[in-house]
Amino acid sequence: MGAVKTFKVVNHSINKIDAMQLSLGKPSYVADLCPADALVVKMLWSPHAHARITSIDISEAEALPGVRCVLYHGNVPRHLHLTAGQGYPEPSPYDTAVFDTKVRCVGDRVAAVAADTREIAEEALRKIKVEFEIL
Amino acid sequence: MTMKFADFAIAETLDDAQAKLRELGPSGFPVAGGTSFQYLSNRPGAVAVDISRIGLAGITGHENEFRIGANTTLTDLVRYEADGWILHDIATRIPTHQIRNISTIAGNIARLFPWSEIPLGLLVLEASIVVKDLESRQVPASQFFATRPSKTLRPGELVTEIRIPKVTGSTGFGYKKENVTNAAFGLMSAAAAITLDGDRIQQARVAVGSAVPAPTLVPIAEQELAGQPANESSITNAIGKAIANVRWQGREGMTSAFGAHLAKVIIHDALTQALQRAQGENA
Amino acid sequence: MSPATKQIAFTLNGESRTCEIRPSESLMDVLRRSGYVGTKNGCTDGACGSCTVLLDGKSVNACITFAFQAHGRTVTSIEGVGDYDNPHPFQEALVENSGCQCGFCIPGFVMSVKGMLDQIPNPTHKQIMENLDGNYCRCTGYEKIEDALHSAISRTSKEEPAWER
Repeated sequence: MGAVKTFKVVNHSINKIDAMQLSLGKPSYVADLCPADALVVKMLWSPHAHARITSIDISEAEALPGVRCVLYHGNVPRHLHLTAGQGYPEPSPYDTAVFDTKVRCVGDRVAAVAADTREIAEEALRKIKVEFEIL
Repeated sequence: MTMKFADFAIAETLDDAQAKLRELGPSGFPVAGGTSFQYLSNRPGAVAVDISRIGLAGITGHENEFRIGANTTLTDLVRYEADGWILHDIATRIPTHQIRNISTIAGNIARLFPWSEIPLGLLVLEASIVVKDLESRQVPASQFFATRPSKTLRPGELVTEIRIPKVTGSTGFGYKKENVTNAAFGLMSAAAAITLDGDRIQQARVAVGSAVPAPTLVPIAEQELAGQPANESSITNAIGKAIANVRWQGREGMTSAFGAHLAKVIIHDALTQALQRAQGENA
Repeated sequence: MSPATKQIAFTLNGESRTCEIRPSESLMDVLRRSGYVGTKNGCTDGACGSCTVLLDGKSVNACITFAFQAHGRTVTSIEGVGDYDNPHPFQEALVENSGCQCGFCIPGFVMSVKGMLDQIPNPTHKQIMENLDGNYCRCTGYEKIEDALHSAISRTSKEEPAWER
């Protein structure tokens, strides 16, 4: 009673396309595919819960051999975006900048360093001079 | 890893290891399994001396005791089977299998952390630790753990063997460890050994760990239980006094007050297990 | 300034290797920077097991094993276990039983399982719990990984599986 349809794809169990690749431990993740000479990026985080950044001096950090780039609010475009996401047009305010003149939590972004090694990047972070006005 | 080494050396024999460590003095660190170093803060100029290839591994049964080589892994302790052997009870609760496969018994006692568990079994059974400087000497566990071995052992002095009595006849061993998750360090742990004389407790020993700075014998438990009838009321009556004299410390979000409360429960359970086993039950 | 390097010699997946290492480098870091990226860095803490390798046949956390501890020893990483043409039975069973979701924990599981089955071909449930307790999975809820393990044991063990599932 009624024709039984045979499907070629629907109603068939198939293996996950990359299951064997993952089981064999083949390079699959960003950290696996990262080139060996990739730079290391380290972030400088805010120690204060709520503060205005009154000054940042990155000159010593930039001068450190092996440091390729130091970014903070003063040398990046102020591109306001949204970190919440329900898909466009998300009605929440587009008010987040990657680096701002104000920090709003302990751990908020203050600056970023790209360097040849992790050790150099960490040393560069220590050389960034920041003054905060605690709010 | 937290602690970094400026250099390393591979020791071929016990003599070689001791010579290298003596020469290095305070900057030399014996490394067997190496799993403790992530918990140590940086010491500039530290040099690792890998002592894992010098032998000293294996467990042998003798008339009244087991002799355990210093480099015997926790997995070996878990898997060893013999009448009177109890260290698997403790070793199996030290997470995880990757750590147990490489972590050694000597490494677990030569440097103490609040979460050190093996010493509890050695304390309640009055095990002895063989330490070799130029000569070997046997140190009773209560003396070995009375001070921090990492401070009292001189450079080049190494634990070579642990001798633990067989738990047989009218003696029973109990061990309980309470932790938040299976792989977490303990909130409270206790080991107990009870020896019966007929229907009386001849001797009881209790040692506690985790919520104290270092593994600690609880002598009052011993005093309160000696000569008492071999039943649970004796245990319950002894607990209050036993825990009153220990300074409990909070950890992992637990307050010291809750630590004291938990101590009552865990010591009670360890003693009960020891008593049941002494009475021949499969507790 | 990086500490000076020293050479170690060990066998990796059946081949003799020498390697310049810094004294504090972990085995995991040395493997990954040498191109053996199958060994994963999940926690750098010895907790999650995604860095599991075999050292002289025993599963250990490569992230907290110093590279010098491998000197003169045999190391097996996931790259040394199975291939597309000839996967290890557990790898094959993982595919068949949908045991991989994000797959990040899987090399660690494969190494722990291989380490266990090489020593205990027909483990009891208790032995399995003892030998896999250090491998964590955030995705699968473990059910399908256990299905795969049971299937692999049925295939490789010469006897009835001691573990009833």
